[in-house]
Amino acid sequence: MSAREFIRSEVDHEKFKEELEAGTEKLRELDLIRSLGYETNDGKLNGLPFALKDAICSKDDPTYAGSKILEGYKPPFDSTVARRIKEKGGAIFAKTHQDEFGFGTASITCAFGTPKNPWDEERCCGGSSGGAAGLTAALDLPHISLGESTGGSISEPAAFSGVVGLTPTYGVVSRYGLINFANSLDKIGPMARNVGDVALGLEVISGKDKKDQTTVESEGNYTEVLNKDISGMKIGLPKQYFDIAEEGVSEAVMEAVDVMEDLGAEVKKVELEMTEAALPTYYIIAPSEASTNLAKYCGMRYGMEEEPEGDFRKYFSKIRGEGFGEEAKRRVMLGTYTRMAGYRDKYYLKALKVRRKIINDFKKAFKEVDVLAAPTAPMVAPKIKEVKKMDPVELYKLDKLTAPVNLAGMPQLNVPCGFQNEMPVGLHLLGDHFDEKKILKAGHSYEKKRGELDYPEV
Amino acid sequence: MKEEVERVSSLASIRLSKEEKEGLEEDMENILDWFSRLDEIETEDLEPAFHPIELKNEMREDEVEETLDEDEVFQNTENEEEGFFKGPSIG
Repeated sequence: MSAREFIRSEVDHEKFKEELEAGTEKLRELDLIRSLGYETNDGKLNGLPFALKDAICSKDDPTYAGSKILEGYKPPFDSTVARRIKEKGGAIFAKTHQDEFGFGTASITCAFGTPKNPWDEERCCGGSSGGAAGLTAALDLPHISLGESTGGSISEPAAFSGVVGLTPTYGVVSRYGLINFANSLDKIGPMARNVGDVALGLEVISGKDKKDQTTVESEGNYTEVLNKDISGMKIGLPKQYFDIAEEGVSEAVMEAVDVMEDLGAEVKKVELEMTEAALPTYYIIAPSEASTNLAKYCGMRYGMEEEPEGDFRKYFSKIRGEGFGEEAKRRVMLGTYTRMAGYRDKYYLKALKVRRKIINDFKKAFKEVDVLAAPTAPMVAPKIKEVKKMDPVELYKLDKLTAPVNLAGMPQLNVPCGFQNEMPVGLHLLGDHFDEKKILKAGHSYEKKRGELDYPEV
Repeated sequence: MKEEVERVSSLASIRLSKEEKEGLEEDMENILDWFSRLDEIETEDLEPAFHPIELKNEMREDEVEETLDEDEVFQNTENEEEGFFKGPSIG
Protein backbone atom coordinates (compact mmCIF):
# COMPACT_ATOMS: atom_id res chain seq x y z
CA MET A 1 0.00 0.00 0.00
CA SER A 2 1.43 3.37 -0.96
CA ALA A 3 1.05 6.56 0.99
CA ARG A 4 0.16 8.25 -2.25
CA GLU A 5 -3.18 6.46 -2.34
CA PHE A 6 -4.22 8.63 0.58
CA ILE A 7 -2.94 11.92 -0.67
CA ARG A 8 -5.31 14.03 -2.64
CA SER A 9 -3.11 16.98 -3.30
CA GLU A 10 0.61 16.48 -3.12
CA VAL A 11 2.28 18.55 -0.41
CA ASP A 12 5.74 20.04 -0.61
CA HIS A 13 6.64 19.48 3.00
CA GLU A 14 9.57 21.79 3.32
CA LYS A 15 7.43 24.54 1.84
CA PHE A 16 4.49 23.48 4.02
CA LYS A 17 6.62 23.67 7.12
CA GLU A 18 7.97 27.09 6.19
CA GLU A 19 4.56 28.49 5.36
CA LEU A 20 3.05 26.95 8.46
CA GLU A 21 5.74 28.45 10.64
CA ALA A 22 5.26 31.82 9.00
CA GLY A 23 1.51 31.57 9.55
CA THR A 24 1.76 30.09 13.03
CA GLU A 25 1.81 33.38 14.81
CA LYS A 26 -1.55 34.26 13.27
CA LEU A 27 -2.93 30.81 14.06
CA ARG A 28 -1.79 31.25 17.65
CA GLU A 29 -3.28 34.72 17.79
CA LEU A 30 -6.61 33.20 16.81
CA ASP A 31 -6.01 30.45 19.39
CA LEU A 32 -6.71 27.78 16.83
CA ILE A 33 -3.82 25.53 17.72
CA ARG A 34 -2.72 24.53 21.17
CA SER A 35 0.53 23.02 20.06
CA LEU A 36 2.34 22.36 16.85
CA GLY A 37 3.39 18.77 17.16
CA TYR A 38 5.75 18.39 14.27
CA GLU A 39 8.68 19.50 16.35
CA THR A 40 8.08 16.52 18.63
CA ASN A 41 7.53 14.39 15.53
CA ASP A 42 11.22 14.82 14.60
CA GLY A 43 10.20 17.19 11.85
CA LYS A 44 8.93 14.24 9.84
CA LEU A 45 6.33 15.62 7.49
CA ASN A 46 6.41 12.92 4.92
CA GLY A 47 2.77 12.75 3.98
CA LEU A 48 -0.54 14.54 4.10
CA PRO A 49 -0.63 16.77 7.21
CA PHE A 50 -3.25 16.03 9.89
CA ALA A 51 -4.23 18.23 12.84
CA LEU A 52 -5.81 16.37 15.75
CA LYS A 53 -8.35 17.55 18.26
CA ASP A 54 -6.60 17.75 21.62
CA ALA A 55 -8.50 14.68 22.93
CA ILE A 56 -6.91 12.32 20.40
CA CYS A 57 -3.73 10.67 21.68
CA SER A 58 -0.58 10.43 19.59
CA LYS A 59 2.61 8.98 20.99
CA ASP A 60 4.75 11.49 22.89
CA ASP A 61 2.77 14.51 21.60
CA PRO A 62 1.26 16.59 24.43
CA THR A 63 -2.47 15.67 24.53
CA TYR A 64 -4.59 17.53 27.10
CA ALA A 65 -8.24 17.27 25.92
CA GLY A 66 -8.46 21.02 26.60
CA SER A 67 -8.22 20.38 30.35
CA LYS A 68 -5.87 21.68 33.01
CA ILE A 69 -6.12 18.34 34.80
CA LEU A 70 -4.25 16.72 31.89
CA GLU A 71 -1.68 19.48 31.39
CA GLY A 72 1.70 17.99 30.59
CA TYR A 73 0.32 14.58 29.60
CA LYS A 74 2.27 12.82 26.86
CA PRO A 75 0.62 9.56 25.84
CA PRO A 76 3.09 6.68 25.64
CA PHE A 77 1.01 5.21 22.80
CA ASP A 78 -0.82 6.07 19.58
CA SER A 79 -4.59 6.10 19.30
CA THR A 80 -5.78 3.81 16.51
CA VAL A 81 -6.55 6.81 14.28
CA ALA A 82 -3.07 8.27 14.87
CA ARG A 83 -1.49 4.88 14.14
CA ARG A 84 -3.47 4.59 10.91
CA ILE A 85 -2.49 8.10 9.80
CA LYS A 86 1.17 7.32 10.39
CA GLU A 87 1.05 3.86 8.79
CA LYS A 88 -0.56 5.30 5.69
CA GLY A 89 2.05 8.00 5.33
CA GLY A 90 0.26 10.99 6.88
CA ALA A 91 1.90 13.26 9.43
CA ILE A 92 0.40 14.73 12.57
CA PHE A 93 1.40 18.37 12.81
CA ALA A 94 -0.83 20.01 15.43
CA LYS A 95 -3.19 19.60 18.38
CA THR A 96 -6.15 21.95 18.22
CA HIS A 97 -8.04 23.80 20.94
CA GLN A 98 -11.27 22.30 22.20
CA ASP A 99 -13.76 22.71 25.00
CA GLU A 100 -12.57 20.91 28.12
CA PHE A 101 -13.20 17.19 27.47
CA GLY A 102 -15.63 18.26 24.71
CA PHE A 103 -18.03 19.92 27.15
CA GLY A 104 -19.15 22.87 25.09
CA THR A 105 -20.83 24.23 22.01
CA ALA A 106 -18.75 27.36 21.45
CA SER A 107 -15.19 26.51 22.55
CA ILE A 108 -15.38 28.98 25.42
CA THR A 109 -14.51 26.33 28.02
CA CYS A 110 -11.06 25.53 26.63
CA ALA A 111 -8.43 25.66 29.38
CA PHE A 112 -5.73 26.88 27.01
CA GLY A 113 -7.38 29.52 24.78
CA THR A 114 -10.69 30.39 23.12
CA PRO A 115 -10.48 30.01 19.33
CA LYS A 116 -11.65 33.05 17.36
CA ASN A 117 -13.61 32.60 14.17
CA PRO A 118 -11.47 33.35 11.08
CA TRP A 119 -14.52 34.94 9.37
CA ASP A 120 -15.02 37.39 12.26
CA GLU A 121 -12.69 37.40 15.23
CA GLU A 122 -15.41 38.57 17.61
CA ARG A 123 -17.35 35.39 16.98
CA CYS A 124 -16.82 31.85 18.25
CA CYS A 125 -15.77 28.88 16.11
CA GLY A 126 -18.44 26.65 17.61
CA GLY A 127 -17.59 23.65 19.71
CA SER A 128 -16.33 21.48 20.94
CA SER A 129 -13.97 20.83 18.00
CA GLY A 130 -13.69 24.62 17.52
CA GLY A 131 -9.92 24.76 17.07
CA ALA A 132 -10.05 22.01 14.44
CA ALA A 133 -12.78 23.76 12.45
CA GLY A 134 -11.19 27.21 12.77
CA LEU A 135 -7.78 25.88 11.77
CA THR A 136 -9.21 24.40 8.59
CA ALA A 137 -10.92 27.69 7.71
CA ALA A 138 -7.71 29.61 8.41
CA LEU A 139 -5.07 27.31 6.93
CA ASP A 140 -4.79 27.65 3.16
CA LEU A 141 -2.57 24.60 2.79
CA PRO A 142 -3.59 21.00 2.09
CA HIS A 143 -4.43 19.24 5.37
CA ILE A 144 -7.16 17.34 7.22
CA SER A 145 -8.32 18.07 10.78
CA LEU A 146 -9.72 15.36 12.98
CA GLY A 147 -12.54 16.35 15.30
CA GLU A 148 -14.70 14.33 17.64
CA SER A 149 -18.46 14.58 18.08
CA THR A 150 -20.54 13.50 21.05
CA GLY A 151 -23.61 15.70 20.48
CA GLY A 152 -22.65 17.76 17.44
CA SER A 153 -19.05 18.74 18.07
CA ILE A 154 -17.99 18.23 14.45
CA SER A 155 -20.99 19.48 12.49
CA GLU A 156 -21.73 22.57 14.56
CA PRO A 157 -18.20 24.06 14.56
CA ALA A 158 -17.88 23.09 10.87
CA ALA A 159 -21.06 25.08 10.17
CA PHE A 160 -19.96 28.07 12.26
CA SER A 161 -16.48 28.09 10.67
CA GLY A 162 -17.56 27.38 7.08
CA VAL A 163 -15.80 24.04 6.57
CA VAL A 164 -16.86 20.50 5.72
CA GLY A 165 -17.20 18.11 8.66
CA LEU A 166 -18.13 14.43 8.62
CA THR A 167 -19.37 12.58 11.70
CA PRO A 168 -19.41 8.89 10.83
CA THR A 169 -21.81 6.25 12.13
CA TYR A 170 -20.99 5.18 15.68
CA GLY A 171 -18.48 2.32 15.40
CA VAL A 172 -17.05 3.13 11.97
CA VAL A 173 -13.95 4.77 13.50
CA SER A 174 -12.13 3.29 16.48
CA ARG A 175 -12.25 5.22 19.74
CA TYR A 176 -9.11 3.56 21.11
CA GLY A 177 -6.84 6.33 22.35
CA LEU A 178 -9.57 8.97 22.37
CA ILE A 179 -9.82 10.74 25.71
CA ASN A 180 -13.43 9.78 26.12
CA PHE A 181 -16.46 11.91 26.95
CA ALA A 182 -19.44 9.54 26.54
CA ASN A 183 -18.78 5.99 25.36
CA SER A 184 -22.08 5.39 23.58
CA LEU A 185 -21.92 8.72 21.75
CA ASP A 186 -18.29 9.56 20.89
CA LYS A 187 -17.33 9.52 17.22
CA ILE A 188 -14.06 10.70 15.64
CA GLY A 189 -14.42 12.26 12.19
CA PRO A 190 -12.56 14.32 9.57
CA MET A 191 -12.89 18.03 8.77
CA ALA A 192 -11.53 19.71 5.65
CA ARG A 193 -12.24 22.42 3.11
CA ASN A 194 -14.03 20.09 0.71
CA VAL A 195 -16.09 16.90 0.66
CA GLY A 196 -13.45 14.95 -1.26
CA ASP A 197 -10.89 15.47 1.49
CA VAL A 198 -13.23 14.34 4.28
CA ALA A 199 -14.05 11.19 2.26
CA LEU A 200 -10.32 10.60 1.98
CA GLY A 201 -9.86 11.29 5.70
CA LEU A 202 -12.50 8.69 6.55
CA GLU A 203 -10.76 6.14 4.33
CA VAL A 204 -7.57 6.67 6.31
CA ILE A 205 -9.04 6.36 9.82
CA SER A 206 -12.00 3.95 9.54
CA GLY A 207 -12.12 0.20 10.01
CA LYS A 208 -12.54 -2.56 12.53
CA ASP A 209 -10.15 -2.46 15.47
CA LYS A 210 -9.66 -5.21 17.98
CA LYS A 211 -8.91 -2.54 20.58
CA ASP A 212 -12.44 -1.15 20.32
CA GLN A 213 -15.21 -3.76 20.67
CA THR A 214 -17.79 -1.39 19.19
CA THR A 215 -16.06 -0.99 15.82
CA VAL A 216 -17.43 -2.54 12.67
CA GLU A 217 -15.86 -3.59 9.39
CA SER A 218 -15.76 -0.52 7.17
CA GLU A 219 -16.56 -0.28 3.49
CA GLY A 220 -13.35 1.68 3.15
CA ASN A 221 -13.56 3.11 -0.34
CA TYR A 222 -15.50 6.27 0.50
CA THR A 223 -13.92 8.37 -2.26
CA GLU A 224 -15.49 6.17 -4.96
CA VAL A 225 -18.84 7.97 -4.60
CA LEU A 226 -17.39 11.34 -5.57
CA ASN A 227 -18.60 12.71 -8.89
CA LYS A 228 -21.55 10.31 -8.97
CA ASP A 229 -24.94 11.38 -10.22
CA ILE A 230 -27.66 12.06 -7.61
CA SER A 231 -30.66 11.96 -9.93
CA GLY A 232 -33.46 9.98 -8.33
CA MET A 233 -31.98 10.32 -4.85
CA LYS A 234 -34.76 10.98 -2.33
CA ILE A 235 -34.05 13.88 0.00
CA GLY A 236 -36.27 14.48 3.02
CA LEU A 237 -36.75 17.88 4.64
CA PRO A 238 -37.61 17.56 8.34
CA LYS A 239 -40.21 20.23 8.99
CA GLN A 240 -39.32 20.66 12.66
CA TYR A 241 -35.69 21.59 11.87
CA PHE A 242 -36.66 24.40 9.52
CA ASP A 243 -39.14 25.72 12.11
CA ILE A 244 -36.43 25.86 14.80
CA ALA A 245 -33.75 27.54 12.66
CA GLU A 246 -33.67 31.30 12.08
CA GLU A 247 -35.30 32.36 8.86
CA GLY A 248 -32.12 33.47 7.08
CA VAL A 249 -30.46 30.15 7.92
CA SER A 250 -33.40 28.10 6.66
CA GLU A 251 -33.50 30.15 3.46
CA ALA A 252 -29.82 29.52 2.70
CA VAL A 253 -30.35 25.80 3.29
CA MET A 254 -33.42 25.76 1.03
CA GLU A 255 -31.37 27.33 -1.77
CA ALA A 256 -28.94 24.43 -1.46
CA VAL A 257 -31.86 21.98 -1.53
CA ASP A 258 -33.08 23.66 -4.74
CA VAL A 259 -29.63 23.08 -6.28
CA MET A 260 -29.85 19.38 -5.43
CA GLU A 261 -33.34 19.24 -6.88
CA ASP A 262 -32.00 20.77 -10.11
CA LEU A 263 -29.40 18.00 -10.12
CA GLY A 264 -32.22 15.46 -10.21
CA ALA A 265 -32.90 14.71 -6.56
CA GLU A 266 -36.50 14.22 -5.43
CA VAL A 267 -37.38 16.38 -2.47
CA LYS A 268 -40.16 15.70 0.03
CA LYS A 269 -41.17 16.90 3.49
CA VAL A 270 -40.86 14.52 6.43
CA GLU A 271 -41.74 14.67 10.13
CA LEU A 272 -39.29 14.06 12.94
CA GLU A 273 -41.61 14.34 15.89
CA MET A 274 -39.03 13.61 18.58
CA THR A 275 -36.84 16.62 17.68
CA GLU A 276 -37.76 18.75 20.71
CA ALA A 277 -37.16 15.87 23.14
CA ALA A 278 -33.63 15.19 21.97
CA LEU A 279 -31.79 17.98 23.76
CA PRO A 280 -32.79 17.16 27.37
CA THR A 281 -32.31 13.47 26.53
CA TYR A 282 -28.79 14.17 25.33
CA TYR A 283 -27.96 16.31 28.37
CA ILE A 284 -28.96 13.46 30.66
CA ILE A 285 -27.16 10.63 28.86
CA ALA A 286 -23.92 12.41 27.94
CA PRO A 287 -23.07 13.78 31.44
CA SER A 288 -24.11 10.45 33.00
CA GLU A 289 -21.52 8.66 30.91
CA ALA A 290 -18.99 11.48 31.29
CA SER A 291 -19.16 11.43 35.08
CA THR A 292 -17.96 7.81 35.11
CA ASN A 293 -15.27 8.46 32.49
CA LEU A 294 -13.86 11.40 34.41
CA ALA A 295 -13.52 9.35 37.60
CA LYS A 296 -10.03 8.33 36.48
CA TYR A 297 -8.62 11.84 36.81
CA CYS A 298 -7.59 11.95 40.42
CA GLY A 299 -3.97 13.10 40.58
CA MET A 300 -2.43 9.69 40.10
CA ARG A 301 -0.50 8.06 37.23
CA TYR A 302 -0.75 11.05 34.86
CA GLY A 303 -1.94 14.63 34.64
CA MET A 304 -2.10 17.13 37.47
CA GLU A 305 -0.54 15.76 40.66
CA GLU A 306 0.90 16.72 44.01
CA GLU A 307 2.83 14.85 46.67
CA PRO A 308 0.15 12.25 47.53
CA GLU A 309 -0.28 12.81 51.22
CA GLY A 310 -3.13 12.27 53.64
CA ASP A 311 -6.47 10.59 53.10
CA PHE A 312 -7.26 9.58 49.49
CA ARG A 313 -10.70 11.22 49.49
CA LYS A 314 -9.23 14.57 50.44
CA TYR A 315 -6.41 14.25 47.93
CA PHE A 316 -8.69 13.25 45.01
CA SER A 317 -11.26 15.96 45.82
CA LYS A 318 -8.60 18.65 46.02
CA ILE A 319 -6.97 17.73 42.70
CA ARG A 320 -10.35 17.40 40.94
CA GLY A 321 -11.60 20.65 42.46
CA GLU A 322 -8.53 22.48 41.14
CA GLY A 323 -8.10 20.63 37.84
CA PHE A 324 -11.62 20.66 36.40
CA GLY A 325 -13.10 23.84 34.95
CA GLU A 326 -16.59 25.17 35.66
CA GLU A 327 -18.44 23.27 32.92
CA ALA A 328 -16.61 20.00 33.65
CA LYS A 329 -17.66 20.28 37.29
CA ARG A 330 -21.24 21.04 36.30
CA ARG A 331 -21.43 18.01 34.01
CA VAL A 332 -19.81 15.61 36.46
CA MET A 333 -22.19 16.84 39.17
CA LEU A 334 -25.23 16.48 36.88
CA GLY A 335 -24.17 13.08 35.60
CA THR A 336 -23.52 11.80 39.10
CA TYR A 337 -26.94 13.04 40.18
CA THR A 338 -28.86 11.49 37.26
CA ARG A 339 -27.30 8.06 37.92
CA MET A 340 -27.72 8.21 41.69
CA ALA A 341 -29.90 5.69 43.52
CA GLY A 342 -33.44 7.06 43.60
CA TYR A 343 -33.01 9.21 40.47
CA ARG A 344 -31.61 6.68 37.99
CA ASP A 345 -35.02 5.55 36.71
CA LYS A 346 -36.45 9.05 36.51
CA TYR A 347 -33.57 10.52 34.54
CA TYR A 348 -31.01 8.12 33.13
CA LEU A 349 -33.22 5.14 32.20
CA LYS A 350 -36.02 7.41 31.07
CA ALA A 351 -33.62 9.23 28.73
CA LEU A 352 -32.39 5.92 27.28
CA LYS A 353 -35.97 4.97 26.47
CA VAL A 354 -36.63 8.33 24.83
CA ARG A 355 -33.42 7.76 22.88
CA ARG A 356 -34.93 4.54 21.53
CA LYS A 357 -37.91 6.58 20.37
CA ILE A 358 -35.62 9.09 18.66
CA ILE A 359 -33.78 6.29 16.81
CA ASN A 360 -37.15 4.85 15.71
CA ASP A 361 -38.20 8.31 14.52
CA PHE A 362 -35.17 8.48 12.19
CA LYS A 363 -35.57 4.85 11.07
CA LYS A 364 -39.11 5.63 10.01
CA ALA A 365 -37.98 8.67 8.00
CA PHE A 366 -35.22 6.66 6.28
CA LYS A 367 -37.81 4.17 5.03
CA GLU A 368 -39.15 7.01 2.88
CA VAL A 369 -35.99 8.89 1.89
CA ASP A 370 -32.28 8.26 1.26
CA VAL A 371 -30.93 11.27 3.11
CA LEU A 372 -32.27 14.16 5.16
CA ALA A 373 -31.28 17.77 4.52
CA ALA A 374 -31.61 20.43 7.22
CA PRO A 375 -29.85 23.40 8.78
CA THR A 376 -26.88 22.24 10.89
CA ALA A 377 -27.32 24.89 13.58
CA PRO A 378 -30.28 27.17 14.32
CA MET A 379 -28.14 30.28 13.73
CA VAL A 380 -24.74 31.45 12.51
CA ALA A 381 -21.76 31.69 14.88
CA PRO A 382 -22.64 33.99 17.79
CA LYS A 383 -20.25 36.56 19.30
CA ILE A 384 -17.95 35.22 22.01
CA LYS A 385 -19.02 37.87 24.50
CA GLU A 386 -22.70 37.02 23.93
CA VAL A 387 -22.03 33.32 24.41
CA LYS A 388 -20.25 34.05 27.68
CA LYS A 389 -23.39 35.71 29.01
CA MET A 390 -25.67 32.74 28.24
CA ASP A 391 -26.85 30.44 31.04
CA PRO A 392 -26.15 26.72 30.61
CA VAL A 393 -29.56 25.75 29.20
CA GLU A 394 -29.42 28.59 26.64
CA LEU A 395 -25.94 27.53 25.62
CA TYR A 396 -26.96 23.88 25.29
CA LYS A 397 -29.57 24.96 22.73
CA LEU A 398 -26.84 25.50 20.12
CA ASP A 399 -26.89 21.66 19.93
CA LYS A 400 -30.60 21.51 19.27
CA LEU A 401 -30.39 20.32 15.66
CA THR A 402 -27.32 18.12 16.06
CA ALA A 403 -28.24 16.29 19.30
CA PRO A 404 -30.96 14.06 17.75
CA VAL A 405 -28.80 12.49 15.03
CA ASN A 406 -25.89 12.09 17.45
CA LEU A 407 -28.09 10.24 19.94
CA ALA A 408 -29.09 7.96 17.06
CA GLY A 409 -25.41 7.42 16.10
CA MET A 410 -26.17 8.14 12.45
CA PRO A 411 -23.74 9.77 9.99
CA GLN A 412 -23.86 13.50 9.31
CA LEU A 413 -22.10 15.82 6.91
CA ASN A 414 -21.90 19.60 7.16
CA VAL A 415 -21.34 21.44 3.89
CA PRO A 416 -21.13 25.26 3.79
CA CYS A 417 -24.09 26.53 1.78
CA GLY A 418 -24.22 30.30 1.95
CA PHE A 419 -24.05 33.23 4.32
CA GLN A 420 -26.15 35.15 6.79
CA ASN A 421 -24.76 38.42 8.18
CA GLU A 422 -21.54 37.56 6.32
CA MET A 423 -21.16 34.40 8.41
CA PRO A 424 -21.24 30.90 6.93
CA VAL A 425 -24.39 28.76 7.11
CA GLY A 426 -24.20 24.97 7.13
CA LEU A 427 -26.26 22.45 5.17
CA HIS A 428 -26.62 19.27 7.25
CA LEU A 429 -26.99 16.00 5.37
CA LEU A 430 -28.05 13.10 7.59
CA GLY A 431 -27.98 9.43 6.67
CA ASP A 432 -29.18 6.13 8.11
CA HIS A 433 -26.63 3.96 9.98
CA PHE A 434 -23.65 3.16 7.69
CA ASP A 435 -24.96 5.34 4.84
CA GLU A 436 -21.85 7.57 4.78
CA LYS A 437 -21.60 7.11 1.02
CA LYS A 438 -25.05 8.53 0.36
CA ILE A 439 -24.43 11.75 2.28
CA LEU A 440 -20.95 12.12 0.76
CA LYS A 441 -22.39 11.69 -2.71
CA ALA A 442 -25.14 14.25 -2.10
CA GLY A 443 -22.70 16.68 -0.43
CA HIS A 444 -20.14 16.41 -3.19
CA SER A 445 -22.70 16.96 -5.96
CA TYR A 446 -23.97 20.06 -4.23
CA GLU A 447 -20.47 21.36 -3.51
CA LYS A 448 -19.38 20.98 -7.14
CA LYS A 449 -22.36 23.01 -8.29
CA ARG A 450 -21.80 25.61 -5.54
CA GLY A 451 -18.20 26.18 -6.56
CA GLU A 452 -15.15 27.19 -4.56
CA LEU A 453 -15.61 29.06 -1.31
CA ASP A 454 -13.63 32.25 -0.78
CA TYR A 455 -11.99 31.78 2.61
CA PRO A 456 -10.93 34.86 4.56
CA GLU A 457 -7.30 35.82 4.42
CA VAL A 458 -5.63 35.29 7.79
CA MET B 1 -30.89 21.47 46.36
CA LYS B 2 -28.27 22.47 48.94
CA GLU B 3 -28.10 19.01 50.49
CA GLU B 4 -28.03 17.31 47.10
CA VAL B 5 -25.11 19.44 45.92
CA GLU B 6 -23.18 18.52 49.09
CA ARG B 7 -23.95 14.85 48.60
CA VAL B 8 -23.09 14.79 44.91
CA SER B 9 -19.84 16.71 45.35
CA SER B 10 -18.80 14.16 47.94
CA LEU B 11 -19.83 11.20 45.74
CA ALA B 12 -18.05 12.71 42.73
CA SER B 13 -14.99 13.65 44.84
CA ILE B 14 -14.87 17.28 43.78
CA ARG B 15 -14.02 19.95 46.31
CA LEU B 16 -16.15 23.04 45.65
CA SER B 17 -15.92 26.57 47.00
CA LYS B 18 -18.95 28.19 48.65
CA GLU B 19 -19.57 30.29 45.51
CA GLU B 20 -19.32 27.26 43.27
CA LYS B 21 -21.83 25.39 45.42
CA GLU B 22 -24.30 28.27 45.28
CA GLY B 23 -23.95 28.55 41.51
CA LEU B 24 -24.46 24.82 41.07
CA GLU B 25 -27.53 24.79 43.28
CA GLU B 26 -29.20 27.26 40.94
CA ASP B 27 -27.91 25.66 37.72
CA MET B 28 -28.87 22.16 38.74
CA GLU B 29 -32.32 23.21 39.81
CA ASN B 30 -32.92 24.84 36.41
CA ILE B 31 -31.42 21.99 34.43
CA LEU B 32 -33.26 19.25 36.36
CA ASP B 33 -36.48 21.17 35.86
CA TRP B 34 -35.76 21.23 32.13
CA PHE B 35 -35.06 17.45 32.19
CA SER B 36 -38.51 16.85 33.71
CA ARG B 37 -40.04 17.63 30.32
CA LEU B 38 -39.28 14.05 29.40
CA ASP B 39 -41.90 12.89 31.93
CA GLU B 40 -44.56 13.81 29.39
CA ILE B 41 -43.21 11.37 26.82
CA GLU B 42 -44.80 7.91 26.72
CA THR B 43 -42.04 5.28 26.92
CA GLU B 44 -43.80 2.20 28.18
CA ASP B 45 -42.69 -1.09 26.53
CA LEU B 46 -39.58 0.56 25.09
CA GLU B 47 -36.16 -0.97 25.63
CA PRO B 48 -33.55 1.53 26.85
CA ALA B 49 -31.04 2.30 24.04
CA PHE B 50 -27.68 1.93 25.79
CA HIS B 51 -26.06 2.05 22.35
CA PRO B 52 -27.23 3.57 19.06
CA ILE B 53 -26.54 0.37 17.11
CA GLU B 54 -26.95 -3.31 18.00
CA LEU B 55 -23.67 -4.65 19.31
CA LYS B 56 -22.61 -8.27 19.44
CA ASN B 57 -20.15 -9.53 21.98
CA GLU B 58 -17.12 -10.80 20.15
CA MET B 59 -14.39 -12.95 21.62
CA ARG B 60 -10.80 -12.70 20.45
CA GLU B 61 -7.82 -14.98 20.78
CA ASP B 62 -5.88 -14.55 24.02
CA GLU B 63 -2.55 -13.68 22.47
CA VAL B 64 0.55 -12.30 24.14
CA GLU B 65 1.50 -8.88 22.77
CA GLU B 66 4.10 -6.23 23.40
CA THR B 67 3.31 -4.05 26.39
CA LEU B 68 4.68 -0.65 27.40
CA ASP B 69 8.08 -0.72 29.04
CA GLU B 70 8.47 0.60 32.58
CA ASP B 71 9.84 4.01 31.54
CA GLU B 72 6.81 4.60 29.35
CA VAL B 73 4.39 3.52 32.07
CA PHE B 74 5.84 6.07 34.48
CA GLN B 75 6.66 8.85 31.98
CA ASN B 76 3.70 10.96 33.14
CA THR B 77 4.23 10.97 36.89
CA GLU B 78 6.73 12.05 39.50
CA ASN B 79 5.07 9.77 42.04
CA GLU B 80 6.82 6.50 41.30
CA GLU B 81 8.57 4.27 43.80
CA GLU B 82 10.28 0.97 43.08
CA GLY B 83 8.17 0.23 40.04
CA PHE B 84 4.86 1.22 41.63
CA PHE B 85 2.61 4.28 41.39
CA LYS B 86 2.60 6.15 44.66
CA GLY B 87 -0.84 7.24 45.88
CA PRO B 88 -2.47 8.74 48.95
CA SER B 89 -3.29 6.67 52.00
CA ILE B 90 -6.44 4.54 51.87
CA GLY B 91 -6.24 3.50 55.51
